[in-house]
Formats: sequence, C-alpha cells, structure tokens
Amino acid sequence: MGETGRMIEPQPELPDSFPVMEDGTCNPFQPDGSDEDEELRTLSRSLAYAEGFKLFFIGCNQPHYAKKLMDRMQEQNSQLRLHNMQLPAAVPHLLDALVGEIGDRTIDVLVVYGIEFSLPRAEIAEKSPFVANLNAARNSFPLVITCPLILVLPEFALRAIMRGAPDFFSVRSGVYFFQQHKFGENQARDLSLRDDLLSTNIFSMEERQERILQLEERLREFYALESTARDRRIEYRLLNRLGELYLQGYQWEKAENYFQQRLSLARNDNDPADEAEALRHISLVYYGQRQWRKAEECLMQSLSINKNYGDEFSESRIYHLLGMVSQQQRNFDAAHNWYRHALAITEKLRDEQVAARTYYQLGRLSEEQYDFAAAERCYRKSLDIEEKLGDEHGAALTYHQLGNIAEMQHDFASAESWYYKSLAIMERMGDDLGTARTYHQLGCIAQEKREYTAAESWYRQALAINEKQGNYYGMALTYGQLGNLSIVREHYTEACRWLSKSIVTFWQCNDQHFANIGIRNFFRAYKCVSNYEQSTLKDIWTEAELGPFPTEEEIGGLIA
Amino acid sequence: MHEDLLKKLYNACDPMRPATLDYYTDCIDGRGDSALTRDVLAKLKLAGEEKYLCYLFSGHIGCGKSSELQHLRNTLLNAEGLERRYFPVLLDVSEYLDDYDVAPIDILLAIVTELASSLRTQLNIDLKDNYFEKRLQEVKDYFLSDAEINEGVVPLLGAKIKIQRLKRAPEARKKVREALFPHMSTMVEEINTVFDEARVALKKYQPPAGEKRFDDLLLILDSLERIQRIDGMEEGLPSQRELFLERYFLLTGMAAHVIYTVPLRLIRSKFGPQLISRYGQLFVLPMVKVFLRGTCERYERGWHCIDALLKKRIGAEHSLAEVFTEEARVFLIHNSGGHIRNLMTFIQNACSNTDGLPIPLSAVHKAIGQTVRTYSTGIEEAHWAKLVALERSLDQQIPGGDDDYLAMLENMSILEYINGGSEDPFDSYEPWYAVNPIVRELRKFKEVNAKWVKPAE
Repeated sequence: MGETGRMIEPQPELPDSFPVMEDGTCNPFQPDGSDEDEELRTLSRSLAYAEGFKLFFIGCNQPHYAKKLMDRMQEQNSQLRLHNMQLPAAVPHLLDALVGEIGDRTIDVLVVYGIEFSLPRAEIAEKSPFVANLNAARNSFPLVITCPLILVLPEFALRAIMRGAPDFFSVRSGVYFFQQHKFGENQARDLSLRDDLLSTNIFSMEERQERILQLEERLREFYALESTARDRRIEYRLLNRLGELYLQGYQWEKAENYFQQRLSLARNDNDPADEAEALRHISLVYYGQRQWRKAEECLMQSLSINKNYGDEFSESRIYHLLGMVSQQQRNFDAAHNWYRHALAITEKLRDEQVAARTYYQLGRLSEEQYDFAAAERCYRKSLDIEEKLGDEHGAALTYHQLGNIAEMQHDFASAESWYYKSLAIMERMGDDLGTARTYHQLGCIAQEKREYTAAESWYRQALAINEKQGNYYGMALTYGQLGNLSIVREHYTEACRWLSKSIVTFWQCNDQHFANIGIRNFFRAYKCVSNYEQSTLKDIWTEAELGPFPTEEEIGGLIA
Repeated sequence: MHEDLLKKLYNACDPMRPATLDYYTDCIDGRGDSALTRDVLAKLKLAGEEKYLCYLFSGHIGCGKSSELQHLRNTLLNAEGLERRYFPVLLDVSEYLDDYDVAPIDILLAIVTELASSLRTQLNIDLKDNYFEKRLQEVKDYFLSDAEINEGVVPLLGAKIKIQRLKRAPEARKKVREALFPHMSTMVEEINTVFDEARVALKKYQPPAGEKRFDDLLLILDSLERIQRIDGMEEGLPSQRELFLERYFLLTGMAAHVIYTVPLRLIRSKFGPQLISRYGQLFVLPMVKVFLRGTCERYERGWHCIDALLKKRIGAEHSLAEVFTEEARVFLIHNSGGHIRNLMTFIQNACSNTDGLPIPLSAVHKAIGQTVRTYSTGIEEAHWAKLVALERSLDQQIPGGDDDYLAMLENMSILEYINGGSEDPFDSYEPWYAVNPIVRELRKFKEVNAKWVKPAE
C-alpha cells in the first residue's frame, strides 16, 4: 500500500548493472549528503598537498557560513594561509579581478566569494559571457595564479559553470559541498493551508475559535433532536467543518475525532462517496502529523472507492494529495506522476481550482529539485488561473513561492518584492499563519544580507504569531533559525537555548530530520566555546530534557 | 614516507596540466590504434613539400588532446627518425581569444604574434614584417596603457602581450577590429608572407651540434574548439559552424601546415560530412577503451594502458600495489570510463581521502562521490531517457544530429570509443558510444532504466 507509484505503474526489476565494489560502508553512487567535517579535512589535506595552481570549488548556498568553515579550517591548520577575496559586485572577467587582487603579493591559497553577483538568473547563468569567459581563460589561470584557488559559490552558480564552462570545470582538483542547515521553508516543506485542499476560507485564530464554539454548540443542539428529526446531511457537514477548523488550527486529535465520526456514519449508512471523502480528510490529519504511511493508506482506500464509483472529481484531489505525500518523502518521480494524473483529470473536467493548486505543487516539486525555471513556469500557470478565478489568497501563496525561488537564487531584491506582495494580501485577508511564513522568509533574507537586527525582528514577529496560533511546526522552524542567527552572531549560549527549543518542538511534530539538524547545530555551537561556557550549554541541554549529554566521541559523530 | 608519496602522486595527477614528457603514455592500444603523432607524421610525409596539411583534431574534453599535441610537438622538435624537421608553434588560442567574442582578425593576429614570440624565445630569431608592424602601429592607440601608446613602434616581437590583453578589453578589441577590417583580405595574403619569412629564417638557423636543421614549420592551434561565439553569430554550434565551415577558406588558406582543434559536438553533428569534404579526414581521439562494446567485460589492452599511465605517475621506485589496493584500482579504472582527466581528478581526491597507503576502496568511493554529486544534479531531465535508450541499444550508436546527444557528448555523460584492429574495417573504425559508468550507476538512471519502454519503430 505504501509503494504508491507501483499501484498504477508496476515497475520491472532493475536490470543488472556494472558491479560496484563494496566495502560495506557506503554506496558511492548514492551519497547521503556531505559530511562537513570530513569534507573540510579532505580539502585541508588537498591544500597541503597542492603545489602551484589547483582549482577547487565549494558549493554552499550560504556564503557567510562557508566563510566560517574556512576560518575554522584556518584555525585547525595554522600552516595554511588563506587569503579571502570578496567580489563586491559583478565583474566581467574573473581572472582580471583576481590579477588585480593578487598584485605583487605572495598568496598561499586564494579563496574567492561573491561570484554569484556576476551571474544573471539561474536559468540563463550558464549562457552568460562571464561563464563562457571562464572557459576561455582556463589555461591562463595557472599563468597568473600560482597558488590553489578556491571558488566559493552557491549551487546554482556551480551548476552554471559545470554546464556552461565544461573545460574550466573539468580541470578541477575537487568540489566540496557545505551547507549550513537552515530552517527555511524551502527545506522544511511546511504544511501550509494551501496544501490541504480544504475550504479556502481563511480565519484568524480568534475567528476560528469563535466559529468552532458556535459549530460545536450547533452540533450539541443537533444531537439533542430526536433521532427521527435528524438530517444526516447536516450532521455530515457539521462534523466535517469542525474537523477542518481543528485541522487548520493544527489540533490534530480533535480534527481526527470529528473526521472519524463522519467516517463511521458514512460506513453505517453505506455511503461510499462520503466514506471516501472522510478518508481523504483523515489522511490530511496524518499528513499534518507527518505520518506518511497512514496518510497514504487512507488515500489509497479513498481512491479505490472513488474508482469503483467513477468519481473523477474526487479522484483528482486524491492524486494531488498522494503527490504531496510522495513529495514529503522525497520520492519526486512518484510525486510528479501523481500530480500529472491529477492534472489530466482536472483538465478533462475543467476543474481549474484544483489545477491551480496542482501547478503550484508541481512548482514546489521543481523548486525542491533546484529546477528554478520549471518551478517558475508552474507558478506562473498557477497564478494565471488564480488571477482569472479571482483567488487572491491562492495568488498570495504563489507570490510567496516565487519569492522563495528568487531567494534560493540569491536574487534578494526580487524575492523581497514577491514576499511583500504576498504579505499585503495575507495581512489584508487576516491569514496569520501565511503572514508568519512570510515574516520567517523575510528574516532569512535579512540574515543572508547580514542585516542581523532586521532578521531577528522578522523572526520574532513570525514566532509571536506561530506561538499564538499554536503552530508548532512553524515555531520549531523559527526557533531553529533564531539559533542559527545567534551562531552567526557568535552568541553561542543564546543559540543553544533557541536550538534546544527547536529540537524539542520538532520531536513533538514527529520530524526527526529537522530535530537532528538542530542537534548538529547545537553541538557546532558547543564546539565553538570555552570549557567554562560548555558547562553552561550542558545545563541547557539537560534542562531541555534532551537526553543524556553525549560523550566527546559521540559529539564528533553527531556533527560529522 | 606515505605523505611524501601521496603528495607526489597528487601533484603528478593534476587534471589542469597536459602530460609532460615524463608522464606521457602512449595509449594507442586502448584507443583503437588511434595515435595522433603517427597519423600527423604520415600525412606530413604524404603532403611532401608541395601541399600544406590542414588537419582537424577533436576529442572529448579532458580525453588527452593537449597531452597528445604536446607529444606531437616534442616529437617534431626532436625529429628523431624523421626525414624532415618541423619547428612546431603550439598556440593555445585561449591565451589570446575571448571565446565569447571572436573575429577572424583576432585569430590572424594571434597566429602572427605567437609565431614571432616562439621564434624569438626558442631560437632567438627576430621576425620582422613591415606589413603587420604597420597594422599594429595603426591600432596601437587602442592598446591599454598610456605607456604603451608612447612606446613608438610596436614590433611584432613585443606584440604578444598586447594582443593577449585585447582579450580582456572588449571595447579596445572592437576598435582594433574596425580599424583592421578593411585590410582583412590582404591580411590573409600577408600572413602567408610571414610564414615564408619564418621558413627562410628557420632554414638559415644553425642548430646546436647534433641536431638537424629545420625544414619547415607547423602551427598547432589548441583550444580553438572552445570558441563559443563568432562576432555577429549566435553562440554555440552556429558559431562553430560559421568558423569551421562557412569561413573555412581562412583556415585552409594558410600556406603552412596547421592543426586545428575542433569541437567534438560539431564533428558528430549533421555538419560532420561537410567538414570532411572541406578538410579531409578528421582525427578524433577516443576514450581509452576499458570495457568491450556493449558489455561490462574488461578490455585488457585498455587496462594495461591505464596501468602503464598510473605507473608513470607513481614513479618507477614504487609499484601499483604499494599505492592502490587491488579493489580500489579496479574501481578507479572502471569508473573513469577510460577518460584520463576524470581518472586524474579521482586519484587526486583519493589521495586527499586516505590516511595512508595503499589507497583503500573506501577512499576511492569518497573520491568518486564528488563527481557523483555533480552528475546527479547536473544532468538535464530530458537526457535521462536518451541515456537509457543508448544503454539499451544493440549497436551502441547515437542518432545523428540529435542535439541532446551532442550535448551529452559535450558534458561527458556519454563517452566515445573506437575498437581498432584490422580484421573488420567497419567494426574497427566505427566509433561507438557508452553511458559514462558513473552516470550508469546513478539512482535516477536506474529508475528510468527500470521503466524503459522501447519506442515504437
């Protein structure tokens, strides 16, 4: 049941392939992401070996973090003398800029930051003159630079060089990947309202609470009626609506309780359409709790019922949700397939509302795979429909995502412009949670721009809303990001306070992955302080009840 | 001890530098009997004194083209066993040309100035040519510094650095082109008189005792394949077509033996036959074959070549077994696909990932991991199905003129091989293609492969 992709497209067994020699440790063709300390050690050793010009790339989406790592490498290896060069703006020829910087100086290792400023948007970066000229000047680099050269750049720029300057890229002596694990939504794949395909009504927390009280009162009145006077359709609607409202408030148990009541009713009444819908709604509760297998099981049951009854309208919604569940599990091909199934039906039925949401999800899928051009195409399609349908809230969510892809490409001006556009609608419509998401991202941008005071202010605004609304997942993300911000500011005790809150909250939300990132960042901060301060951090760990404090060896393993 | 050897190996395997005399290994057995030097020497012999060789040379990025050209240069210079001795002028055009903006005039200026510089630095011959000196004089105001403007006459000898600097100054380059454009047709003529002057000087030159006299010169234009845009043309293939096909008269019009490097993508495009009709047979340097066509079976002669290459880099005082465990060496060679620069990069990374010798399999795994990551995110979505189609094809061929396959050849997700041998000429000389072994092992490739459905005929 869990192998969703196979329900529709049975896959043959994988054919034989070239044998891969295994030493029992890892499969080199499926790396699990880079181990930063090891990458750093390897780079350090490469630099120690390197004589004369050698070309290295560091892929890191957060240059200031890469700089910290370089500083750490420098501290660990005092014999290395790194010369940092920050390109302040676009330069036409990298080599010329380097020649100007070097002058008559003797440099051991030249580390260059800011190359991304010389590149245009990601999708055309590989065809830019700057990249082409790297290719042209390849053989001239060793003529004028006689030491190892490290180019630190975001992954989109690295990809542009790989594709657009293959000769230059081919003479590399190493590519290293470093990434400070950011608690940004592009990594977190948050569970926004847009994802649930429920009512588009947006309530502030107060309004939602009032609504719940009123509907629960109405339900009580309904049950007070004699059984012969009860209209089942009213009961369905009340249970359903209450479930939805609790779901929107992240109150999973109450939401599930109402949806389960509705499911029992549908089964008693032998009403398959309602049974299918109730199952679909229950799947959303599991989705919200990140219980993917349970969510999938409900959806597959619902799909099977709908297929029997030929309800394509509901079928498309289930495909959409199956896509989202697969996407959350990073099963991108399956997700893509499900969305395509959904789109095929929505086009046939001219169900534009779901089509807009599916394009939006396809955009997020491409975004997760760093295919920004495809993501933008999907968002634009979504936006066209939303504007046509007058779906302002949908448009606001799409603006937010357009901001996200601009941010990921380090086009901060465009990103901010999209975020503000989104924010204006969210605030006007009273979507507090949407507003908080955007505040969080504006904080991330401010942090990238090293405007730390502004970043903190945005994060705190986001946090205030999420705490008030009880949005634990949003809280966990922002705690984590406040922790990262404190690390950047070298306020390690404060960082660990935030991170411990983030870890606990991610555990509450069943997200071990992000909890682990919090743990890793906690111990990175721990490693940056004196023995005396380490004891304070130990206390923070203990007070937060994060378990037994790890040994030094275990810490080494945790941050590796 | 280990550290020293690792450091030595790390620097001996620099992917940036072509093989030196010490490191050069003849991989003819693994490259389907393809040997550039042998082929060029045979053709020079056939050309005699009557005709000039105009020779196109191609191959994958990093397959060893520059090493082969260096080897040819050294062979010509030493002239051991040769009837005639040629003075080789190896011109790396990337030192002169901005590959995003090239005009034919730039190439002519680069040739003249490099020829003058090579003769001066290697043989102490000063080339004087009034025509080009006058042209340089006319454009000297566009060179960069006031000091240079006040220099007075710009001799050919000193022009190299100034012409090279034009590469980085688009405005000055534009002005130089505008000023020289009216002279274009005569410049092509006049460059041939420069060659004649050089020939005369070479013949007059008294070599040190024991060395042969020079009979002629041979120009090698390396990195020409990297030119992306010819002035006024769309970048990429259209510009390469413009340079090598539409303006072929410029390249074939040189009254000197010349070797040009040409993009593999152009050769394997639909324009390949036109290139042959204009220039004659082309020489493509294939990968070193490490597995047999259409199988995973090891090709022993190719492996011997790579082993020999590795031994040279390690040095005679150490054995392969001292440096690599058997399984690490097997993994390295297999996953290099016979692509020498990739192999060099892997070895460097393996050196940095090991704590001692012999280098274990785990270090090689980590070394290859970097490339795995770059490939897994760098391959375009549309290419996966085509990679699988090649993998599944019975003849290991790619459809002619398919832009995607040409791009894959360029980014090395597909590698080209030649069988060689003399039994069946069709099998021997027909290039065949294989998916890069690393790409073949990627999760995405396997997924697409598993779902592959043969297209309808």
